[in-house]
Amino acid sequence: MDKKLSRRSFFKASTLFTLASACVPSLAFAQEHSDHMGVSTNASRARIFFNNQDQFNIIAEACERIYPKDELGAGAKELGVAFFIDNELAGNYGSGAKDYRMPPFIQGAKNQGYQYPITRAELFKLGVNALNEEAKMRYKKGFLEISDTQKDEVLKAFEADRTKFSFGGMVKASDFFAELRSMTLAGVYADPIYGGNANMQAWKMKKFPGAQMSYTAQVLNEDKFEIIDPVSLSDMSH
Amino acid sequence: MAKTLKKADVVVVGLGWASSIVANECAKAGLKVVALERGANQDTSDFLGAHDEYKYVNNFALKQDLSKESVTFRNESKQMALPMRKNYSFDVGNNVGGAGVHWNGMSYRFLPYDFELKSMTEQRYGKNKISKDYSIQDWGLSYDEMEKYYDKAEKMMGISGEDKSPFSGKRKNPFPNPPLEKTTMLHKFEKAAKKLGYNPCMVPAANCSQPYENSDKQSLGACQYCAFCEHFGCEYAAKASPLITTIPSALATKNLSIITHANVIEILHKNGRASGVKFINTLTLEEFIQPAEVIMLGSYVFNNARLLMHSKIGEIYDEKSLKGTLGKNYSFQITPSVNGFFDEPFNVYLGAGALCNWIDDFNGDNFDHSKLDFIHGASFRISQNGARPIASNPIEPGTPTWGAAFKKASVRNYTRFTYIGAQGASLPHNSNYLSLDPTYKDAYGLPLIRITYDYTKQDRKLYDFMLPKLAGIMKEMGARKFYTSPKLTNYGLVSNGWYGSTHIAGGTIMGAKKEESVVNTYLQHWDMPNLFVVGASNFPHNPGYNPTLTINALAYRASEGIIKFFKEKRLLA
Ligand SMILES: Cc1cc2nc3c(=O)[nH]c(=O)nc-3n(C[C@H](O)[C@H](O)[C@H](O)COP(=O)(O)OP(=O)(O)OC[C@H]3O[C@@H](n4cnc5c(N)ncnc54)[C@H](O)[C@@H]3O)c2cc1C
Repeated sequence: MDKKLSRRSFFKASTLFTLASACVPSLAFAQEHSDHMGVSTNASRARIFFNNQDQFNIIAEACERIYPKDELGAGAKELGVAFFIDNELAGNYGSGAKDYRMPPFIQGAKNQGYQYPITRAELFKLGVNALNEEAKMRYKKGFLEISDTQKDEVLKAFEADRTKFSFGGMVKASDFFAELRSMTLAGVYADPIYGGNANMQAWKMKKFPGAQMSYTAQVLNEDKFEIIDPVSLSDMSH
Repeated sequence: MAKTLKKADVVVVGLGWASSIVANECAKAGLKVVALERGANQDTSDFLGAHDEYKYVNNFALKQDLSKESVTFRNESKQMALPMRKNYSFDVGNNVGGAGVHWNGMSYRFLPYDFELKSMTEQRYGKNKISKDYSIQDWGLSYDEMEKYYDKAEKMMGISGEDKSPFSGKRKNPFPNPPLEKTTMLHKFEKAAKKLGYNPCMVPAANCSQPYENSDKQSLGACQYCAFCEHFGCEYAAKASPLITTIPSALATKNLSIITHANVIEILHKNGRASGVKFINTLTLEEFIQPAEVIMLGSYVFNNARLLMHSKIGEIYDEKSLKGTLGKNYSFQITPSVNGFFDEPFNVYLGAGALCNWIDDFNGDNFDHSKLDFIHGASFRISQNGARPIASNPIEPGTPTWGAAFKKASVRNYTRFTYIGAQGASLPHNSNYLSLDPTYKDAYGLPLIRITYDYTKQDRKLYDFMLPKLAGIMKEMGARKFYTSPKLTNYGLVSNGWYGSTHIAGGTIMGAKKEESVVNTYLQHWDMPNLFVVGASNFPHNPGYNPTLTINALAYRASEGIIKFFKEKRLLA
């Protein structure tokens, strides 16, 4: 008891201490509440990477199948995940700015990792087209016209490299699928400042409190399970 | 033409933990030190509001830029090594402070057994306990000789811990700070481990449990359990890093100057003496020569070995003839684990990088190996360092990895999941080593370092032995369901897209004899007395713990050596 109390005052003191010692430029950290952030229907948002709306919509549909709306809450579409992916493809992620891209490009063992000359931006363009072609080959309709179950079948074929569509050896369907899946999850759960996770709905579902400054109080309060309203980086204050 | 700069007493290459300790000790001793760091400067104010998983984890904000430099990898010499094109496996540091900025802070001392692995193994089990293909050796310094350096490192870093593991080497002094607070999960682990007759203990943490002034009069704040340690810089200055300890202390002496964006490409030498280093300004691409009386490499495992190889200092290891020591004894870690799914939810979102409870009952030679066909072992630990939502989507085997069932399971399990991880020792093997890649180059035209590595029989035996022990603890903790990690297949850079471990060792190993090491026990190069090399590259094998406290202790040892060298100007061994 005494130990806890004295530790508690330590923490208090230390907060002051760090504010002083770290010479905080961000005491005036952005306070702006950004309600509009991440709402996919907002007029201030449009695609910036994909050339046409169908490509964008195919990505949006595929992401929704990976992370669908259900009784727990929003799915990828409502969370704005396609905007997130579209934005990322237009930037460093798409161009592989921090990837090693020197030749020669030789396909090796699986545990040697990705070895394609194409960037992720190119991979997604190939991939989106392939999703549509695969749908046509299987169901004689484009990806946007087929049913949810049929979309799942197409995605499963990609995941398992069992597509009818051929990438001509340029990439594996499963490489595109793996990238699409991980970017979907990133768009669902990244801070809303990146354009997905609209209104932190995905964090609320998962009970992740976001960018909190400190959990010392919880830890000292016997670490009892607690659900905390999340905060975004756009709201985080020191 | 490269421009020649004013000669320094000591030039340190890179400015992570290893170099910054040497820089600080030398600067305090009155030597003029120049630090050359390939990345940019940074400080604590850069990390305010940096609770951004996507930027720091997915996009490796603080990590090595692979477009400039990567590594190549193959399992065995028959294969062609290919470059790591995307960041999978190693989160190598890239700026002032190195990986000591975005690390977790788990700060174990190695076991006395680790330092005398060969002689203690032979003493207890005879000379033929393991095959000759495993090039194990003593490190040349005993634990008792290391103790004072460990003590120095702990006091500088403000380690928070408790001296409760009966297997640890004897300490002269208590930990500088009390351990961090335990969470529900840690209590559960502790109780279960005790019930099973093991000896749980809090992991020594470089996350300060209270405000602390270190041995260099530098201040550290108290950890806020905010859970943004691993991959992040600490905005509270509560996680020990060079940025808040060694570097400000060295700068205060006015004897350290730091040159950033300085990528060292060669160590210059003549007649067995190093004369300086050549570096390239990564922004202007101008070349410079920095002359120095003493050169110290602290450029992490890969570049410590690569710069020596490229500069033709020492003999590169040859797998066929077994000749040469440079690049030898490269080792990774063996990491069996168990995942546990619980009925009740936990505050998994909170924690600290080194907020962990641990047992050492199956590490080192802390248990009898006479009936076992492997040596050494693993430490087991439960970590509460904060589950972040992009990375943490726990599902049981058999659950789809996407779609409605995935969403339901991963959302529910997020708060009801934990794992116990083991860090198993990795022993050096003749067929595992570092060399220069014949094909792939970095942005400045230098060959990349090539890793030839695979798990060996010993590793698989060790791994299989640990699985049921791990499962036993998880069961005792009351998990509804638990699953041990899959069988060890071949080592690879790609580990299911998860961050693996940046705990690698070897390449420029230390030892008491020139025939079996690159540097002596002062971390001084056998062939070049004014060249010192420090890092996990010095470890002749990789023990069952995180490396950094020992790297730092060795850096204190090297500092002592460098200061001594200025008086004696000779090989110190
Ligand atoms: C996510 C993560 C978590 C970790 N957690 C732990 C932990 O809990 N406990 C633990 O013990 N360890 C941990 N580690 C490992 C720990 O960070 C390293 O062991 C330690 O930081 C290594 O220190 P170093 O000084 O040897 O190298 P580094 O920190 O890598 O420093 C080397 C420096 O040299 C620079 N450099 C490299 N090449 C050149 C060149 N040619 N020219 C100029 N400069 C160059 C680099 O930019 C870098 O700044 C973790 C690592 C990571 C990535």
